[in-house]
Amino acid sequence: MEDRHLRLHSFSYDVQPLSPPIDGPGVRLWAGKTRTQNGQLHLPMYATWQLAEPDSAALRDVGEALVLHASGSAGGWAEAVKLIDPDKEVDEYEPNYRGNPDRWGHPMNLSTGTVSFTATLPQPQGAPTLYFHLTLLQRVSNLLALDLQSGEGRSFLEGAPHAFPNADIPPR
Amino acid sequence: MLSRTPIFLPASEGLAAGISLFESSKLGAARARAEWVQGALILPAAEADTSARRDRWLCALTLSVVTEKDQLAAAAKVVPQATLGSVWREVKIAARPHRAVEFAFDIRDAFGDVPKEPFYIHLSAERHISAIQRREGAPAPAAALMGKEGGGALDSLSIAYALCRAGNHARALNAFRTAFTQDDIPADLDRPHLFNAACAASLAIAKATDAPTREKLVAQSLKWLDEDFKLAHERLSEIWRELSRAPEEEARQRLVAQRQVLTDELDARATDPDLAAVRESSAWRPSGKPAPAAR
Repeated sequence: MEDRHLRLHSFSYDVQPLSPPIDGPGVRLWAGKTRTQNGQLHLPMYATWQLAEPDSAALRDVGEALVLHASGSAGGWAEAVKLIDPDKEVDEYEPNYRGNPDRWGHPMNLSTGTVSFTATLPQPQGAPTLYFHLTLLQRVSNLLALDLQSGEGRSFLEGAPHAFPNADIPPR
Repeated sequence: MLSRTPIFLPASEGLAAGISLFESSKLGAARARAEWVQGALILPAAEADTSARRDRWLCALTLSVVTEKDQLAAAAKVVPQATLGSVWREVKIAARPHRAVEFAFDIRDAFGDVPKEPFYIHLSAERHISAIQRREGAPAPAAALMGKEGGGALDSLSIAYALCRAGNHARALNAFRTAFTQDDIPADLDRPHLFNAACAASLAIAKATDAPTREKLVAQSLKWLDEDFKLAHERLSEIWRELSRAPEEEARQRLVAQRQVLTDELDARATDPDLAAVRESSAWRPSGKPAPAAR
């Protein structure tokens, strides 16, 4: 089995103007262009959500309840990581350092929101496909499949490919 | 044992392509609900037309657990704890051919324990994601579970496997006996419970402190092996009879595949290391048939 450890080492709250739209209640996962550096694979992503007010009010902090699920090709590794850990301190040298958690102070309990983050993991050997999706308690997002060999990305809803208005992730 | 996380044949009703998680009501008492995951993986026939492709799909099955309060999250591949070479069945969905396999496994095989607080589970496999199920937290500590062996047959089966995992094979035997009072549990060849019970009895021999107990355990193991062998033999004879009636090609292929799975499993059972203690006994017969005195 592959030994991989996914790290979510940056996130910011100031991406709303550039983030892709979400067209209804639910959770969506989007990806930017993958890059490799120093043997690490960097996958910039956005999580967007839209919840009815009663649903979002029931959650203390929607952003903190988002979980990213990742897995490699068949037989590979699998991990699930909280997107925002309120207790996690981001090192100052990391690109999106925003200070200590108690100084972030951004209201996340909105009915619509976006978080950007970069998933980082060791460059896999070979050319596997990586699969990512989000959950927000009982809600599940679309699923992104990133093929490292071709550089292609695909997005699926309930197992079926669907149109994905992001230039980096062409549907097929 | 063939598998402590057996993969079952699919039910034929109410299924959709993708991954379906079944309601846990089948599993009986609340204490089983938190731990057992049961469902089916159903794919278009073209995507699961070879055993390599089918195994690949099973290897892709990933279980995710997220706790409700703190959203503590974990994910693990399912199949390293389960068995490949499972029996797939052909099913029609919207008149189109699909292949399906039903799975059942214990969350503790993947994560070692069940969260104490309510949690959410779901399965994914490449592009497929199941619906999310909410589970109550672990309802009973292991000690309490081990003290309640008088429930229904399926409960008893869960307890038997839990006791085996805990290394308490001798106590698992009573739970297996209770489970086998329900006719369709021992009779289902796709769930190797009789064989696994025989393995549990064999493994208990090492911890037996006196000769009479060891003899009883050998006899019990051989009795279950004998029943398991008879069932397999009956099923093989049935397959031969069906093949001799010159069935249509599709049915013939299915029967041949079933025959292969059964013969492979019988071969594997003959050399299973868990049965070492029984093999060393004077009552062992290589054919799988116990000596009359041992029955």
